[in-house]
Amino acid sequence: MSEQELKVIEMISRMSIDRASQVFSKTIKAGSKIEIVRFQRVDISEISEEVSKEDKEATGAIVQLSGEAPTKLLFIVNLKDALKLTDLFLRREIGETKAFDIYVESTIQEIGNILASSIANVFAKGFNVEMSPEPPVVLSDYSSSIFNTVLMDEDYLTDNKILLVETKFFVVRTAFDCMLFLMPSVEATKVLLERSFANNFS
Amino acid sequence: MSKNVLIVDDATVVRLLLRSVLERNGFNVVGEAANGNEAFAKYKELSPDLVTMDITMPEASGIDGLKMILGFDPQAKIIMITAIDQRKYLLEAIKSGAVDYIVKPFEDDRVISALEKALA
Repeated sequence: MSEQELKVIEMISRMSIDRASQVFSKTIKAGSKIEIVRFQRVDISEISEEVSKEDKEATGAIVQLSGEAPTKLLFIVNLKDALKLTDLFLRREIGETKAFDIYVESTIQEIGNILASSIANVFAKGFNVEMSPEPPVVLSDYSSSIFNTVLMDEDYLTDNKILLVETKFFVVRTAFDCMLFLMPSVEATKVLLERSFANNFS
Repeated sequence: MSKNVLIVDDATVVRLLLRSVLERNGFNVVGEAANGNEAFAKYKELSPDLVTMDITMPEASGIDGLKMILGFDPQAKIIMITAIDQRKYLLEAIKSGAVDYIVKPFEDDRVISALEKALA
């Protein structure tokens, strides 16, 4: 992929993440911002090693965006912060949820679904790329284990590298350790580039 | 008399949140379902006045559930409540017989006004 093509994919990712950020704020009814901290083709063995260095108990929603530009999304939250997110989602005082239960699992599932849908909506409306999310799969494990589950898919690899969009969340008055990873497949980058250039998006 | 509502969504927290919003506003939640197949079975069992239906669900989607219910009862009132904000899905739902389409994350007022309008 040329530098110019990579730039186009990065701009599409920023548009998608900006939309996801707005939707996330509305979902938890608190001001928040999701920022891209890395947009890069990374070697999967290097990223696996990097993630395992900061291993912690986490819960994650993996969502497959199916359609013309298959893309994977991983929304991953530190276990302690998943409890806080559940309180915000259910409009409770933070601290009410004391332990991991079906409501915490379901909150992560639903936030994964809402974020993935908002990104699919940007692809569809902005670039005429038909996309829809599959029901999220929720995993509770060490973050490296969850992350490695997502990485092992040949459709997303070129020369053992994957295009990774890594984000961090900033929420007003509350510290959250959660991240969103977007992984467009090789096919997705081709389709997004075709549609972008067809719409003079360059 | 309060109207009976069936809530269909695969996320437990969404069902909990919707139940709370509806009950606070005088609706009676008679049942819950987590996919299109369960929704159809519950609809036949409970005959609710209205159904709120998510789209992205495992086993059978909300569009499948909508078609099954309307095939059984063409007078059924079904409101889609989904995170998918795309013309293709909106058109398919409306053409298949949904009476309204609400995009998540929803505002409580929007949900209540849609239910009141559908049941008027």
